[in-house]
Amino acid sequence: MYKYWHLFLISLRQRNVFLFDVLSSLFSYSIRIFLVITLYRYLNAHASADSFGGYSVRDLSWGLIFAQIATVGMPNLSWEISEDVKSGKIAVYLLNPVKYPAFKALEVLSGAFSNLLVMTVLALGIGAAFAGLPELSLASVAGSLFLLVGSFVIFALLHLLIGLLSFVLEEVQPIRWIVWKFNLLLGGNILPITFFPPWLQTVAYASPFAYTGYTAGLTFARFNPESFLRYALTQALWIAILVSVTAATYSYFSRRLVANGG
Amino acid sequence: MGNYFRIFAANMLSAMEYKAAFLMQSSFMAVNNAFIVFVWYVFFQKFGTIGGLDFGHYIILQALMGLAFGLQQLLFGGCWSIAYKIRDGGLDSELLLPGSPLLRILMSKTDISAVGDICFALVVFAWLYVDASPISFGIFLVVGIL
Repeated sequence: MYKYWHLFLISLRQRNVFLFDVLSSLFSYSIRIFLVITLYRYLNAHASADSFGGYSVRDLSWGLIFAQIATVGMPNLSWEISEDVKSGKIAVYLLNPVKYPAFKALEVLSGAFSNLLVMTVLALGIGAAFAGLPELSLASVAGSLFLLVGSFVIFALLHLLIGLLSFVLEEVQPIRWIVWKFNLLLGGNILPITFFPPWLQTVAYASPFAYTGYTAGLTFARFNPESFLRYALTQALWIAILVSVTAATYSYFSRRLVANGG
Repeated sequence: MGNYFRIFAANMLSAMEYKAAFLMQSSFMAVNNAFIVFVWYVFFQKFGTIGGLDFGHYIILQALMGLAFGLQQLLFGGCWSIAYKIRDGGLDSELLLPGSPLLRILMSKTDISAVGDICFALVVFAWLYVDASPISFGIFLVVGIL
């Protein structure tokens, strides 16, 4: 466990060397948030009151802000794994006395962790400026941060799973596009889930994507113990499912690895 | 100009050498774009129009962007590698060669997923404007190229 902790710290330092990369992603994040919140405001002014499903513009804006933290803050782990396979570096990693998925996940989560800290602070500033701060309580802040950390874990596991497919496939980026579009659609990254027709809302809340930031944002804006418990339990269930699937995938595919890409 | 055409042809042949990857990238990019259409279909179904803009207007804009981005990535996919070349010293060798270094770097790579973007744009145009005249299609292509 000690060596994994050191791997985490080294990667954390390495990721923060490229300050310009971090700042440029924050800039695009701010622009996107501003544009979508402007759209929500327009809709609020022109559409019927029940269109927002009982939520205010501020609630939905915070849902968007938190959903985008996880989407923008997560480094592209699937691409890194794919490059390891294509370049043949994977052979060296597999010879090391560390579990490759654990090593890669820690390496990426260290980057995500620093992004999470910086982006959460920035998101609070942007949210306060564009949407207004909700009435905060210890429960809403702690609950949303708890769900946000879970969001990063779900994202890392999804990346890991897609990346591991590169053990047997030539190219996994197209699969990542599709999964990320599901995240865009079902994760409240453009449109809040409450805008969807009932059948699509059911699909969204049954998928892992609603728990990659959106529900954390709703918890931050309007804390409700019952909703929080439901979100946390569903998120934990998805983490358990993804960990099991990732472990099984690694175990199966590592025996069928085709170096330089399937 | 012939040399640049040969660079493009070589890029295409190289990309198509990995047939599974070529088919997967181009088809999944088209599906990827279709998701965007679905997101905005859901949106406009609920809200109708936004400041006079309806689903058809929005999607044709999306198709135009897909066409423009797809053509750029297909012909000048090397544009994203200029910074890497400068950082890694790869620009030095380009400057020593005859012809335009910028054009050669821009054409040094073809992003094969761009085929999916272009197909998406053409399918959307055909879907929205079934009875469009050749002139309308020509305008669509020219605007996309510009």
